[in-house]
Amino acid sequence: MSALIELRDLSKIYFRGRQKLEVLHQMNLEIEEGEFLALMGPSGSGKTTLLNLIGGLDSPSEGTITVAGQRIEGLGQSELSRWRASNVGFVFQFYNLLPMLSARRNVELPLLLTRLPAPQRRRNAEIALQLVGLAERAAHKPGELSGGQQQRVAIARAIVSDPKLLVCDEPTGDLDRRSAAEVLNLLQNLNREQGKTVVMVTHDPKAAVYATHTLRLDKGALAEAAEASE
Amino acid sequence: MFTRLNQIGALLTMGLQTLPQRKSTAGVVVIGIASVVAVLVSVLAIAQGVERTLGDSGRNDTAILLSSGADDEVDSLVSRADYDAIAGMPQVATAASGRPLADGEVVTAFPARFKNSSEEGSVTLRGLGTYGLAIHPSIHISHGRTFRPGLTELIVGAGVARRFRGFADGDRVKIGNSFWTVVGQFKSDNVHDSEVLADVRTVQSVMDMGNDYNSAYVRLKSADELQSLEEAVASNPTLHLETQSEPEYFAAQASGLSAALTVAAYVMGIIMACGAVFGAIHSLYIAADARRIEMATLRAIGFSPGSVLVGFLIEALFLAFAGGCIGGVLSWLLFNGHVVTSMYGGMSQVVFQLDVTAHLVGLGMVWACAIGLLGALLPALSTSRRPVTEALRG
Repeated sequence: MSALIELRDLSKIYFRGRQKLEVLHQMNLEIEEGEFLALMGPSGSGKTTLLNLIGGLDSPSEGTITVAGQRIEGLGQSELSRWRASNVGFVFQFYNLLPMLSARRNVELPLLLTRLPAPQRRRNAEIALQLVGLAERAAHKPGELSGGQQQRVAIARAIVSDPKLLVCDEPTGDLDRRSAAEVLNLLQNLNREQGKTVVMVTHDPKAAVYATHTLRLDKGALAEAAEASE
Repeated sequence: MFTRLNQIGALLTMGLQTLPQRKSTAGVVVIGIASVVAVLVSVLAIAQGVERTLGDSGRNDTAILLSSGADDEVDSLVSRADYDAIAGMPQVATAASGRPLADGEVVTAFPARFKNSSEEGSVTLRGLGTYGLAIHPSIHISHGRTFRPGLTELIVGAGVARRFRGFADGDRVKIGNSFWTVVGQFKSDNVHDSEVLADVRTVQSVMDMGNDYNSAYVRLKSADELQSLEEAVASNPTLHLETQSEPEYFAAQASGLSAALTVAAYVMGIIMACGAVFGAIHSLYIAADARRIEMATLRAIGFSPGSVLVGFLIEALFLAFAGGCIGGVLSWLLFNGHVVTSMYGGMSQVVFQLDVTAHLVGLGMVWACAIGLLGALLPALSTSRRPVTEALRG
């Protein structure tokens, strides 16, 4: 396997007034294509910042980020938007579905950034919902779905444009144990069967078990790395 | 471009679909803009009514002569001798009888009660000579007959009959110490519509005004004779008169009032618009904040900052358009065709009809859209430029 993501000397510094906060410090990391990586660590360790940098939601203060051979650390806001649209699927802790839209229309949103005609967009959204086992709930709005179902809709939205990389920020943080297991199984299947590279931030060691690798962060640096045992 | 339009369309659809959940903030924007448009359009409709009634009337081949320095007929005095001198000038057209088409006229004002209130207004009584009606062809008797020389009879302009009580056919109107009988009504598309007309000699006699006139009107052989008449009057050392064409005179009379109203409309409009812009900014910031995570999610999945900006602005334009429509319709419903009176010539009230025209409503819509865009710009920029990670944190 080759590295899908390469981070070189990556630092992220925030300023609060005159106070300088170095959230990530000179980090080097390679994530292989097809890997399911769990990022763990205490609050403030920099795992969400790292995830945001990998997903192109934020830019580093120093260092380089290469994803699928493309350097993204220097891209402008609009370029980053285009890059995210075609390369990354996002899964958020609180699903972030648009409440006024049906599940199908939520899933269809990323396809609005493609040149696909409307019928094809609709069909692709339905296929994605089928993949997450929610084809029959396509017309339901998020408020009419359980938390686990909403997260599965969010995963369908993340995969509908067929990105190589799924970036998941505490995807089970708001779910009960059973729903969490369903969501993690789904992510595992997408990783194993569809070959998606998954980078997941979690506090939950039981969630990390689903990953192929786990990395621990502490104070903005990698603390240890371990092969996950399923 | 295709995907940009898709993004904007989706943002707009979502924005409009969530409007029911944002009734109060959207309502503030719509009502604020509707108020500005309603006030602006209504006051401009008055100004336009003034302009139409006073400004765009009169004939180019009719001249009015007033004493030097007089701004209007009330302040002017034209002696009988001056009038005779003018009437005899070669530039003046003649009637079929061979007599000059000239008319010495007097104006005075008297109090009258408004129809729908106990308040008193002021009506102009104009004394016309033999050729008065010929020189003022805009005056058409609508019913009854015209006044007869030597009798205290008068005819009433439609505007006076509409706004003041006691001016029906056969009514006796007390002017000064005498009573005048209404024998007919006339219509005119200019200021005369707000006057009552009587025989000049009778007015001079009954009102104790002597033999002098306030103004002299002459029909010229052609409009081109105006300059020649002006020169002739100016070069005659015994005449202390100023010559103007009828349209020039009316335009000068209208310009002050209509300009004041137009300025008032825009001043009020600008003040209210400032309020509406700040109201819109505040409301749209609240709306943007309520949709912060929604917008951040869309940006995370690839919607461009530009699309978010444009989508937000178009949504604000929709609200502004709705406000503009409501304001325009309100103004039309409340004021179109409405009749108002205003002081004119420092003496009497002139009746104006408000015309809420498509042009004015269009102007109101332009204001509405400008207010909407100005009000939305800062919240839209803030939403589209806010770092996604910060917005996602809530």
